[in-house]
Amino acid sequence: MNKNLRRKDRLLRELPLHFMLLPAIILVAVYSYGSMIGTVIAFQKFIPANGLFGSDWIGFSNFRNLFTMPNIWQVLRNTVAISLFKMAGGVIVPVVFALLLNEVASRFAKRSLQTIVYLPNFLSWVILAGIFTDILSPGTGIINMLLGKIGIQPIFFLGSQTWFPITMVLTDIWKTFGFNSVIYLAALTSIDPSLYESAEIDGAGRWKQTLHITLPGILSTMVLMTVLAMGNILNGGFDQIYNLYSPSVYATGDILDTFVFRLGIQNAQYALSTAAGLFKSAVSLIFIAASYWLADKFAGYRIF
Amino acid sequence: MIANLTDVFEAYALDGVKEYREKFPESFEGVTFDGKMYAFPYMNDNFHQTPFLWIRDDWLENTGSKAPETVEEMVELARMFKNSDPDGNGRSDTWGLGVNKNIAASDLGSITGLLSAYGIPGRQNNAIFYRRNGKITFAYIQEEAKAALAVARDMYAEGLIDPEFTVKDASILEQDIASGSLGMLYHMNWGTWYPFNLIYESDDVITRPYPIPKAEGYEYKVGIEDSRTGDVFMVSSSCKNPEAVIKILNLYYNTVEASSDADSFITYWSDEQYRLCPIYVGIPTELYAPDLFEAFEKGSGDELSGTAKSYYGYVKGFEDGSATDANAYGTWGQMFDRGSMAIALKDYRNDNAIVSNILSNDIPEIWLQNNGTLGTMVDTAYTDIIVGNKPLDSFDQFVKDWLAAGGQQTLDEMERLYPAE
Repeated sequence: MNKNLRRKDRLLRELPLHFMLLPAIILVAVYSYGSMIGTVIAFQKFIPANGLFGSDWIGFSNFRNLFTMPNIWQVLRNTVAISLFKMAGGVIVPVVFALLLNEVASRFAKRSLQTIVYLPNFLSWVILAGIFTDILSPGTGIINMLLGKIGIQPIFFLGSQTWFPITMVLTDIWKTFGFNSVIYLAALTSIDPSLYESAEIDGAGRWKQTLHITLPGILSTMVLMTVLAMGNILNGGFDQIYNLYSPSVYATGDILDTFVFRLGIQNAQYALSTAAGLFKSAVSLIFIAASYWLADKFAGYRIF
Repeated sequence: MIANLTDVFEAYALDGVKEYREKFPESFEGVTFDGKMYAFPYMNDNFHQTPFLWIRDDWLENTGSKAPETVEEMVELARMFKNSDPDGNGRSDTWGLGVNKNIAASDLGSITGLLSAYGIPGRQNNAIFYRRNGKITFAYIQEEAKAALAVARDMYAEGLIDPEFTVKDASILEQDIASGSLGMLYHMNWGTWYPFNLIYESDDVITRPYPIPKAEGYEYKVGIEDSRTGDVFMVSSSCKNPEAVIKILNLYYNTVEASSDADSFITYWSDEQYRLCPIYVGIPTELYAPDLFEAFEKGSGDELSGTAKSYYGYVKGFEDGSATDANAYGTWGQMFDRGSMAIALKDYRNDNAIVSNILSNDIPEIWLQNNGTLGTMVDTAYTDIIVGNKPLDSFDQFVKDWLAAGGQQTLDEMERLYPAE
């Protein structure tokens, strides 16, 4: 009786907090779960005028079409390669940066640096594409001018099939590492300072402390970020690549999303695009499940 | 669904509006099914969609050149523009020919004009289809394209084309034009409206259209879309007063087209206020052009009326210096006696060079599914050859791949949908 009352009290007290969740729940319900109904068109010969349930059912024919497209394997290979490198860089660079920033003594310098590297995250790729096209230009771009000063031939970053994917990975890391490092910095502050004190007493230097206290301390965050990133294995970054690529780099730069955009959205092939989207979701599910299992097995980390 | 407009059109349309049916039978054919009219077509100036070569007047003068009539002369002029400092600023900061990364598009800086010289009526990377030697075929898979690609490849290798063109889209070319590093490009008819108005307004530089330079031994062909396709206005069948649409159209016709009042022509047409009107159609300049050209020859616009009279006033005003605004320059570029319209109607049409796309309202399913992929193949194969990633002979493999990836099936299906007359 007494216990029940207390639970009731608590619920009443926390009710406003639960209501704060509501907007997020509604958004997820409408845009994530609600739109799932639309996946039926992946199995239809979809005609918009006939509506979601009025079009003919054609089974897996859209998927067969998708996987018999010329270049589809090349596109998948590009997608996986680009997103794997982005994922790896997206964990390593922010972690290293957060560790280094953590060592900076001046509070002001630390805060300013953090803000500066955080800023690119707020710029859209449409804007950045214009900037990168200019600064990466082999003829007039500042990067190639600097490279020229140290005797390196101009590199056509956006027009060369070798350099294009590398440029995509590097610019993406540059854009996102500030934001991600904030997460690791937050994880760093949660490490118990007394651990460092006792390590110092035991005679551990900075490097030993980093290796044995800091890294294990943020490992679970790293694992979480990696697990979440695994879901994006087939997302090479549409807005980035769409704004920077060109026919001359399709061979190494065309990813699933841009490919589907060209043949699906621009030509109003909704069923085919949905089939591609569903395929992506299925692959993401497998990767997330696998990495979650691995994280649990090797790092002892569980989200649920 | 969609309302049948046949009866309200008959009952309410002004005679002038009804006359469109005789003037643009194909456009109306495209909106008529089983004898019933389901929409009102926009009626584009189809002849006007052809490519032109645009060149800056001052660069021609500074290099002591004349407009090129052959592809060789065009390449030579590009060489002058690249190497002879056409803007006279003492720096080597100009390009010979402006090219955009979407080389097979029809807009600013595509190479469709160059391909046309070799008899390839290309328009977009997925157009056009035409009948050649009795069979339906696709523009970009013609053997003659190799000759055009060889020219572009050599120009690229020589540095006459910006080596970075592969990452530059039309909007970046516009900046290059505005900053004065480009003086020659293939473009469509609206060049004096955009983007050449930019340098006209800032530096008084006039850029004008010329017929595309020809290649010796080849019959040139320029491609346009079929008139049956295009924008249309439709009315929902649940609309209570479909005749209101026709009434709006009548009002538009009276204000914009039939009016010979210069002010309302400027307000509603040149300044594009008509776009605020829910229903509007193009002013098909092809219609007025013959009268207009006759008036130029006679040197008097007294016999003209309505739109044609307004055009005459603009063009003459621009030529005698009394009209210098952007609208006057824009209209002049299209309508003067050697403007884009005159080139299309007098040169291209008289030379029998205009080829209209066979693909219109009946679209093969296989084409719908594959045209994105096939278009990509055109873009990549052509770009690879121009920048030297692949040899010229890789063109043959491209043709095979294009046919295998749904191209051949599309052609076969089209033979069935569009039987030869």
